[in-house]
Amino acid sequence: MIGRLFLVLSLLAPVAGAQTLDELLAKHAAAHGGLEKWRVVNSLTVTGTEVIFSDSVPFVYEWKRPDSSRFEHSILGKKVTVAHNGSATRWINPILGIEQPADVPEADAALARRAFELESPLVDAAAKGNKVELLGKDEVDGQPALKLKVTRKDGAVETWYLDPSTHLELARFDRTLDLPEAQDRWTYYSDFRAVEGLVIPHRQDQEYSIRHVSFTIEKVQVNPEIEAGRFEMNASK
Amino acid sequence: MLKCCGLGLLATVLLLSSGLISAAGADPSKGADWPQFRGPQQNGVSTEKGLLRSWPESGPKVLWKKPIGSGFSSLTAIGDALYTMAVEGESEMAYRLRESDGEVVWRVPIGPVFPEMFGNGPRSTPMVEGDVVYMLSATGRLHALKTKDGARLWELDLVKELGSTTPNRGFSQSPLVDGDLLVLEAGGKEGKAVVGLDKKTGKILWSALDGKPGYVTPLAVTIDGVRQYVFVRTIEGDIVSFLPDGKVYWKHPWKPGAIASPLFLAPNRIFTSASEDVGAVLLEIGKGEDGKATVREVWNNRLMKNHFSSSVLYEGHIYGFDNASLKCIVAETGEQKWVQRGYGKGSLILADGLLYILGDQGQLVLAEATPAGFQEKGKIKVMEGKTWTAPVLSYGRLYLRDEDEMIVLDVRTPSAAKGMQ
Repeated sequence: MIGRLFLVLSLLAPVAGAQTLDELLAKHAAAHGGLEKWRVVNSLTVTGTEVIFSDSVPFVYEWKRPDSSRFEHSILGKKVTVAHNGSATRWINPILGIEQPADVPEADAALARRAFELESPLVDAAAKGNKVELLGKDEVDGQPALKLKVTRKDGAVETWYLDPSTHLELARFDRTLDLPEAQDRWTYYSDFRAVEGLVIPHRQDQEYSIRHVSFTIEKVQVNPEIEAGRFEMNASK
Repeated sequence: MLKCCGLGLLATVLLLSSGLISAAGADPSKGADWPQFRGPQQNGVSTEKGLLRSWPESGPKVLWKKPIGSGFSSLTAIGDALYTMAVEGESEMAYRLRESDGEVVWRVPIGPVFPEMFGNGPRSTPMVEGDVVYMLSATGRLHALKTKDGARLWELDLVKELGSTTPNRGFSQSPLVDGDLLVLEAGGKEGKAVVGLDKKTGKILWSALDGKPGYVTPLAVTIDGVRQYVFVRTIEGDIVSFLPDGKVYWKHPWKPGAIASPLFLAPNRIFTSASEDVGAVLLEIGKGEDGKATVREVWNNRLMKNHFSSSVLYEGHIYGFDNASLKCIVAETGEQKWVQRGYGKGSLILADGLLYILGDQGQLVLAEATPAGFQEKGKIKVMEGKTWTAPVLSYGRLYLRDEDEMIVLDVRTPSAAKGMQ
C-alpha cells in the first residue's frame, strides 16, 4: 500500500511539483508563438483540404475576434456552411435536409461551430473563459503526454494532451456531431509550422465512430479583412 | 431452423479438393494465384517470396493502367486471367481481363447498378474454383460463370428466390466455395439466413437460421480435424460455425456491426473485429468431453476496430486499421505495440514479412511487418480517387483499383522476375 502510494506520488511529482499549471500554460502559449502574437490576431482565414468519407474537398474557415466564425466545406458533394455571429449559430446542411439557413439546435451549436478550430483553447485560456485543470501524466499512442481538462466557457468539457517536451498539443478528446448523433472524438495534431510567428498545426486528424476526417491547411491569412456579414446567415424561420 | 439434405463425410474430401491446400503447397518463389477475396487462405497474405524490400522514390514499375467502372470489388488472379466486377452503363458487369495488359477477354452483365451514397456498384469479389468463377452482384444476384467464356452455368437471385433484403450498403460478402459446396449468408426468409449450395447447380443443399444478410465473407477453417465455415453476422451480432452438412457446430454471442473478415490463428483461434463501439475478440475453439465444440474468449478489447478493411497476421502480431489508425497488436493478448496515422481508412495485405498498405487517397506504402515499430520502406501516390479496395498480390504483381481505374505494379526483385518468366 505504501509502495503504491509512493509510486503515485512519484508519478505526480514532476507535474505537480516541478511544473505548475500556469507554467505549463505559459510554455504552451510560447510554443504557439507567444501570447502577445495571438492577442493581436483579430481575424483569420484558413483554407485547405479536408478528407471526409475518403473524399478530398476544399474547406474555408474564417474567424473574427471575439467569437465569430464561419466554416464552409462539402460532404458527399453537398455544400455545408456553419456560421456563428457571436451569439447565434446557424447552418445550411443539406446532408440533414436543411437546405435553407436555420438555427442549429442549442444542444448541437457548440459542436457544430467547433467542427474545425485553429487556435488552442489553452492559449490565453482565462481570457477566453476556459477553465483548465492539470490532471497529470498520461500517454498518447505510447508517447508521454501531459493531460489537462478544459471546461469551455459554454460548459463543454474536453481533455487535452500536450507533448511534455514541446508543450504543443498531441491530441484532444471531446464530443462531436455525426449525422447528427453526438459521438466521442479524438483529434490528433501534427505538422506544426509558423505563420507570421503563430505556430499552427497544419494537420488535424479526427476520428469518431467509424469516421475519419482530416484537415490539411494550405494557407493561413492573419488579420485579413472579413466583412461582418460573413458570420450572419439569415434564418428562414 | 435447420433444413439439411445430409451431405455427410464431406470434410476430408472438401479439405483435399480445396484450392486452399494447393495454394499453400505451391513453391512461393514461383508465385501464387489469388483465387478469392483476401487471397489463397482468406487471410490477406500471399505466400510469395522474392519481393522488393524497399522501393525507389518513383515506386515500383507500373506495368499497365486501365480505366474501369465504379465499384469496390477486389480482384481474383488465376494464371493469366483476372476477374473483377464494375459498373458499366446501367449494369453491374463481371469481367475476365488479360493479365498482361488488362484487355477484356469477356464481360457479362450480372445485375442492375446498385446506387449508393458512398459509391455505386459491386462490393463483392469473385471466387474462382476450377473452371468456374462465382460472383455476387450488389443487388444479390449470385452467378456461376465459366471462366473460359463467361457462359452462365446458373444464377440465384437472393432477393427474389430466397426473400432476402438488400443490405443498406449492398450485398458485399464474397462467395466461398469449398469442395462441392458454396456457402453464403444469404439473409433469406424462413430459415434461409445461411445457405449451403451445390456449387454445380446453385441448388440449396441446406439452410439455417433467421436474419438479414450482413457484409462479412464466411471463413473456411479446419480445427481439430473438423472442417467448418465461420460466419460473423453483421446484423444478428453472433459468430456461428457450420459443418459442411449444415449443422451448427458452435455459436458465440458477439455484437452487431462487423464488416471486416475474421482471421484464423492456427491451430484453433478466430479473431474478429468490428468498428464503432465493438472492438475485437479472440476466440479459442476446443472440444469438450462430450465431443461438442467449446468456445472461449481469450481476450476482447477496443484497441482494434476494423471497419471495412480486414487485418492480417504475421509472426504472432495482428496488423490492421483501427478505423483510420494503422496498428500492430499482439495476437496472444490484444496489447497494442504501435500506431501509425496518415493513411485514412486504408487497407492492407501482407507478403514475405512486408505490409502493402493502400491509404484511402491512393497512397501506396511498403512497410516491414514488425512489432518493433512502423518502418516505412517505400511510398508513392498511385491513384487520385477514393481507394477502398484492398490490394491483391499474385506472381509478383500488385493489383490496385479505385472507382475509375486499375493499376498493376511489378513488386518483384529482378532475380525473382527472371525466375517467374
